[in-house]
Amino acid sequence: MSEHFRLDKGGLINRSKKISFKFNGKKYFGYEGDTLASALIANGVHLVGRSFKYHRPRGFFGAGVDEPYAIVQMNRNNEVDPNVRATEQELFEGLEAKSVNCWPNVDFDIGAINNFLGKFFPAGFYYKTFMWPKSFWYKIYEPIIRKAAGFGAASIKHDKERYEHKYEYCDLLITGSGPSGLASAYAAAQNGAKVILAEDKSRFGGSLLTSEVTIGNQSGQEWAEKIITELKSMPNVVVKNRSQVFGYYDHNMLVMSERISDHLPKSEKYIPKQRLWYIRAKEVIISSGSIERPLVFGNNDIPGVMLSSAAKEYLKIYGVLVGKKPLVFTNNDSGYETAIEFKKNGIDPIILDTRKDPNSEIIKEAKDLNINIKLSYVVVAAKGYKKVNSADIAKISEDKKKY
Amino acid sequence: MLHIKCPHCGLRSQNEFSYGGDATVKRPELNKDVSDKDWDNFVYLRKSPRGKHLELWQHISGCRQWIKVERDTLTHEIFKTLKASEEA
Ligand SMILES: [Zn+2]
Repeated sequence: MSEHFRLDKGGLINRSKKISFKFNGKKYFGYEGDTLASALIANGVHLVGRSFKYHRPRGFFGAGVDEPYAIVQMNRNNEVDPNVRATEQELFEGLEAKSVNCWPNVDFDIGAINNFLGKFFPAGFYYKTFMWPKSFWYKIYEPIIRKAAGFGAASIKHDKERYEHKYEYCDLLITGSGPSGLASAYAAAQNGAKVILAEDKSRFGGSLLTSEVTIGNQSGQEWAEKIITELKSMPNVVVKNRSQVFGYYDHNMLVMSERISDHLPKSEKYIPKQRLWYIRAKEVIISSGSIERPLVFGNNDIPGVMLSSAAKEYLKIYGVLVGKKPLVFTNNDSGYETAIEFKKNGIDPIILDTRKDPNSEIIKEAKDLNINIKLSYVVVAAKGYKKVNSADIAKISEDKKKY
Repeated sequence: MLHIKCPHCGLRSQNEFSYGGDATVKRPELNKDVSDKDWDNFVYLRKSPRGKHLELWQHISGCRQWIKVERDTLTHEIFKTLKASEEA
């Protein structure tokens, strides 16, 4: 398989190091610095799973921790991990993963018949129908439901990996290494505070990695690199990537999960796979950024429908096109950034904007690039089954009573 | 997890302490007739207030001393901590 959706240049991946991996038994290639998701999209794989009840096809929706669909079963060093987000799993040589929640396989899924019979399945169908007769439960109903529902299969073997716990104390805990996180960490550290800076992803910089911004006379990315290097050299600062702060408890007790070895083919001897930090912080700054809120329209769960911020991330960080005929549906300026990125890479996007006459610098930039912009337009429904192929669109009428 | 200031050791995490209940309960006086009802009240009945509450804690994984903690049961705010012998 070749990488039809990978650009010739761009992104933060290491193109000099090719990595081979397997998804659903098929062999593909990606690069060092890819996630499983970016590598699959680069290879044109958009169907990764099935939904829980109706077994509708599922693709990629986000590019990180917000991914709701692309959950896979991982196989690493003869250990299975049943619920891994493909958007978070970094690629390593020999990675093996497969789809969950589809039987017999992702392309032909028996449960999808539920999708077409949907009208006849009232809510609570599972609970009411399978209750009687009682003797049927263990032998017939339960095994079938187990097969039709649930994500992944847990291992029944003992986990050979090591896991650690650690207590830590600091003056300031900062969650997220975007512009505000870095600036606060730097200011506090220079004043002698004991600082912990936690970044969920493998790369520091947050939105600076995907936005065209300058700080002083440097690009956002260069500035981030400079600040991180300086922070790492300071004895009163702990800088951690692949570390997600996931709980905020009483009296400023926070809990952080550090993924030490998940991105490696196997853990090094005596090095744990993950480490759980209990951090007691005097002050906390939550600079985690925000997750884009999806717009609502019919069939917005079809593979190929995704967040525009995710599309931008795949382009800017991984040099991957999520599609070659993108339709950007937006109600604010952020969609334009994505469209402009596509245009700069030789792809013609169409923008649908719900607003009547928006006006800003970025919209002017998009117009100057001759991007097709349709104002007062909405997507009514996406079309396609295993992959989106078109969309029904409509103009918002002046009186907003009909379209 | 709470952060409790032991008067003997300083600020420590809650998992070093064990909870000892309401610190305002008084044992019936010795060598006096006590009704069954009073004994029952002393042994079993406790208020469950919403708000300020004076309670006993033992620094079981530290100095092992009993201490008094004035805590808000709703917000977990700790107003003050005292040695067991001190009056609130
Ligand atoms: Zn103590």
